[in-house]
Amino acid sequence: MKIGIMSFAHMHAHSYAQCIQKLDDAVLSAIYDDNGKRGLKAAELYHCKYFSDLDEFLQTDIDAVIICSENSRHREMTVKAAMAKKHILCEKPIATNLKDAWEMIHVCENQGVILQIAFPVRFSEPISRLKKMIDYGDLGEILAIRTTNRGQNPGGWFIDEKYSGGGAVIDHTVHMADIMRWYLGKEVSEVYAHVDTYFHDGDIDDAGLLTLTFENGVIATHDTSWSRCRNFPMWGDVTIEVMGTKGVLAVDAFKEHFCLYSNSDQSLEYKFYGKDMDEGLINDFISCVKEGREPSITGFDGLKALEIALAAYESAKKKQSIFLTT
Amino acid sequence: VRIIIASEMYGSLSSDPIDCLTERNNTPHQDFQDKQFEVIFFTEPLDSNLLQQILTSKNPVYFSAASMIQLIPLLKKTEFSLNDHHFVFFPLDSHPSFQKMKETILEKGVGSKGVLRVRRSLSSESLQYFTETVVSDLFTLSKLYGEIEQVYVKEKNDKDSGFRHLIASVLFRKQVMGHYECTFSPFLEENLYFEWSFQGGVIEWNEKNSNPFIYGSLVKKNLSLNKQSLIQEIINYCQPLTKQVVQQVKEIWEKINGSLPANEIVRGNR
Repeated sequence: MKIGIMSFAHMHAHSYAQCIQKLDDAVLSAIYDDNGKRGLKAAELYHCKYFSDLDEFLQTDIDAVIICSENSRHREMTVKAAMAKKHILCEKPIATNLKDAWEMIHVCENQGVILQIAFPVRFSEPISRLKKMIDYGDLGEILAIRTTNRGQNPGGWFIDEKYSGGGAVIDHTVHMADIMRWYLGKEVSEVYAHVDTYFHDGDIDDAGLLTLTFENGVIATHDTSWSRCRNFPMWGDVTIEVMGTKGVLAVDAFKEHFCLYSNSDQSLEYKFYGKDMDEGLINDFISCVKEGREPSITGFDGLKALEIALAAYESAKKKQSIFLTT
Repeated sequence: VRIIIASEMYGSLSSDPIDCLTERNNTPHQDFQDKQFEVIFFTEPLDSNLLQQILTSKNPVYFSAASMIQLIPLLKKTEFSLNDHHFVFFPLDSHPSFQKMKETILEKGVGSKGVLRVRRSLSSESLQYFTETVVSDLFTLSKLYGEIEQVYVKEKNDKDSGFRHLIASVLFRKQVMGHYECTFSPFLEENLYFEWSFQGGVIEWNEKNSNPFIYGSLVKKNLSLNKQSLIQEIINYCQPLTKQVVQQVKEIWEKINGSLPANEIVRGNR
């Protein structure tokens, strides 16, 4: 199977390219990027052809594309790729507004191509194991959840709202919002949030605390902040604690690490040795395309996660709960 | 004679007595001024007569925050007058880790903005003081991060499993947003977790990772608290019990309860 990557604006593009390189049944054959320097460098690095023209790129015999552009360009790229009958794995968040997200879903449906959203956390080994335990009833009825997905300020276009659609809240809410929806099989009905700019001098949000209520009464918290300092031992975290009537389990997706102490500026580093969740994501997408099955993470999943992040902004602005239609 | 009124500590203190201590049930007694006791712990709620006797005695009286909160209606009825030998201690503020963190935070600049996350899980003995604990902790945090400007509370209970979980989403005056979460679950051990993320750093403390006895195994699972050091912490970190403190605590109590109209409380199995 031939895969193309559309834009290396998002740093995850490199991880996805490396994952494809490890596969026997897929090849990264083309890269499109409107940033010529960046695109050429990536094409050289991954030994594939570079295109500066999107139409030419989409006329090639690639079967599927991975979209790693700025968030605000996801709609435009998805629509063009779908019209060219390419299956799509789109970086999260699906879009910067719900209108774009719906259009992406509808175009892909109409063109008969797969639209999968890149939520790699679903492929974290401990996170997916916890999902199985919940499904088996090991925790009983789920009552409450606590989650975090903190990180460092990525800078660049991520802190330009025109391209990103928002800061930490849109960047880091969607992952764990998706995981909670996945675990519960239920939608969020109410969002209350504090959103502010605490950790850097710009305008875009970098601190966010969300309190969520699901349609079945489960209550949950989420810390979405870019609050990890420059020399934090790891880029950030992904944690979840699920409290049920038969047990409580807390998972740290990056707990499988050893500590590296040194005399460098980064005197302590956590070196992760667990299973690469990006590999799980890419493998799943490729098998979906091969088997022609419904993607495990749909465009609708992406839209619902985005809806929660957008409601958080609205809640903080209005200083009140936002009720969502489930 | 020091008199300590700390009904929520009954579970932690009921074993391994120390000679200079006695635990006292709520029975009318005249002998709390008896010199044979250095400290008297009252570990069950007081009635108004005994409270009046204690307050009007010349002995230093130390109320735990939870006891003080429970006694607020009684204190009002008793027509008490608080004076300089009446004190209150807040368990979070009395904890050496919090004291050290507070010192560090003040050095690092508490005025700087940030995200606060506190998580307390309670033992079954402390469950009946659930809301008192929440209010006490939020009072302590408000002394560090500024007055509570906005609070939004969600709570989930499950009668069958005894589970109780409260989320308080708080905006403090000093540009601090916080999630304070308090949980009782039969599947969780008593614990306190504290994380303060500010520009340029993170302070994190987890009680379960701070035991100097790193590992080992004993037949007796629950090691009793060292009462002597606990009393020392109470005495060191208590603050004068004034009408202003009572009022401030009462206001937080009302904010927490006021944020929980009956139809907002989502209870399990209903």
